[in-house]
Amino acid sequence: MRKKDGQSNTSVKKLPPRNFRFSSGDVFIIGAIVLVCAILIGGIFFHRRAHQGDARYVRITQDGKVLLEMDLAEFSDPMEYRIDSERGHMIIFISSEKVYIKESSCTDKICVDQGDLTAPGDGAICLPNRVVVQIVSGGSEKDDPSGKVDVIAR
Amino acid sequence: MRRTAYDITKTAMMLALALVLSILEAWLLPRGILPIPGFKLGLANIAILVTLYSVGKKEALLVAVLRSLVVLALGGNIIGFIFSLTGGVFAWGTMCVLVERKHVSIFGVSIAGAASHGIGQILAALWVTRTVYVITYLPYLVLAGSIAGGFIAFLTIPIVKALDHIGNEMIQ
Repeated sequence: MRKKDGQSNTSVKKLPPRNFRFSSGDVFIIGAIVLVCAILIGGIFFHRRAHQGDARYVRITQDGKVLLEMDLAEFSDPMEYRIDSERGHMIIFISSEKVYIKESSCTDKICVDQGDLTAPGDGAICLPNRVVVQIVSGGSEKDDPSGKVDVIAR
Repeated sequence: MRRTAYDITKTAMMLALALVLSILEAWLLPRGILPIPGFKLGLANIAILVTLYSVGKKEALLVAVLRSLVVLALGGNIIGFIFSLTGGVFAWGTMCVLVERKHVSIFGVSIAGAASHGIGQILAALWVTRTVYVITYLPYLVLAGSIAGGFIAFLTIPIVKALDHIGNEMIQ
């Protein structure tokens, strides 16, 4: 790269091998990715199935601290939960059927695009506000402050 | 000396390409159009892959970091910058290791890079939100990213070949 470029044969510069044909190593890489993702998705799927009939709780966290955690059954009157922090504001709609992020001061609005959250395991994340809104099932999970640890542990 | 100048030119061109592709991607896929919120194709990775194959590893990292910085300077947000940087550095690390492997083609390099990009971003999200829940995004992000990665490799091949061709003509 630097001064030693004066060598006579200019084609000796060490560049990676040009392998543009689909190769055996690629199959291994794709297989590993698919396998790990399938296990994770399967774990999430079975977790949802197992908790289908449970009471559903809405949990709202900011910076990892729980701001709100309540049984959705208590929201027969829908409400709008407002978060005002130094990072911005958010309005979260909560009813006994669904939860969604109605408004957010963030620029990307990824959290708003996430749409309705209805089943345990659903969630919306707003990174600029550092807010996570998720539906968790009642029972054992409720006592676990970090949420879906059991999904990953499987 | 000639080749050094040529390398600098290629790196600068690829940085420009990365920026144009970042903007193009925002145009092509406005928010909400893809089923996974926050997912991107990573078109800019074309430029980083080209740099990796045609110039070198350090230059590829330079393109990745400078691209993130310029996007931030052009009106991105700091969170977006942190994510593009952690994802970019993770992807670069993986690609550097795999690019030397004989049995891994550009497809494997790009796909593994895209998967690492997703893993890096989830780690950043873990750090930002301090909520383990974000890991449930990982498989979707990695799978979708890997498919995009294969597509990116396909688009990168003709550019690397063209640059090789230009380089050979310059030597003669």
